[in-house]
Amino acid sequence: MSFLEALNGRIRIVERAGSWTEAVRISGELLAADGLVTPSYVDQMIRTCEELGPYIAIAPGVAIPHARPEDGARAFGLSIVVVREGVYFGSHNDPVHLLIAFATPDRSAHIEFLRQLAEILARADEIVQALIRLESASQVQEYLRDLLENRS
Amino acid sequence: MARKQPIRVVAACGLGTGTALYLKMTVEEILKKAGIPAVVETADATLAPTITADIIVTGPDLAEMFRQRARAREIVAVTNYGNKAEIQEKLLAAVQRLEG
Repeated sequence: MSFLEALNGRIRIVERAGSWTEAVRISGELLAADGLVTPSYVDQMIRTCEELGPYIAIAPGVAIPHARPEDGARAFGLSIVVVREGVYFGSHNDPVHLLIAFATPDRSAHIEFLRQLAEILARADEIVQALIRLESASQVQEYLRDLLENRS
Repeated sequence: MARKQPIRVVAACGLGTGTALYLKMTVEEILKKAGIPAVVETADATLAPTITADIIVTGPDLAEMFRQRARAREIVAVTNYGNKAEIQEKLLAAVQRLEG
């Protein structure tokens, strides 16, 4: 499943978030609203980060909130939250503007997603700067489509 | 300079599902290109320090945690996972230190 198929339009742009916790919760609730995860999965996304540190902020401006398959992941899927003003995880990669949350019911279903994620991370600075200037979820969708699919 | 044993690398993240898999793919690619035989596996934050590996590759926060108690000989802390050059430089430096 490609990045955009897995995303399936679950995109939210917010001006600001009160904390990284709130930003992660928004990303998780987008997954929960479509039945991809249980509400406890969303809680676990936050708890994991509290317990293990801000390691999910993996590139400048980008974090990938997730929990374990057994924490309540029902199907594979992604969501994207763009926080224009950024949130702070206490990471070298702060401020984080782009959250790419994911759920996967098993440990191998998301290899293609990870490959496309690699393309995004390799150009994290440029992509984050572009995303925070976009006005709507559909513009974000179009931007990502150009980025991931319109390559020669 | 034929190496008898492949080096054992653990790509670790908090849960062993997301970033660890991502790191594993990148690490395998880098080591293959460099012609270094290696076995790369993934682990979560609980398991990783208990593995007798040559190298653990992980983020800076977990690296700090692992340095206290990990059994691996080298710990590589990657700040920007999108920066393959950073991963390559730190990883190959660790491989060189192993060969001492």
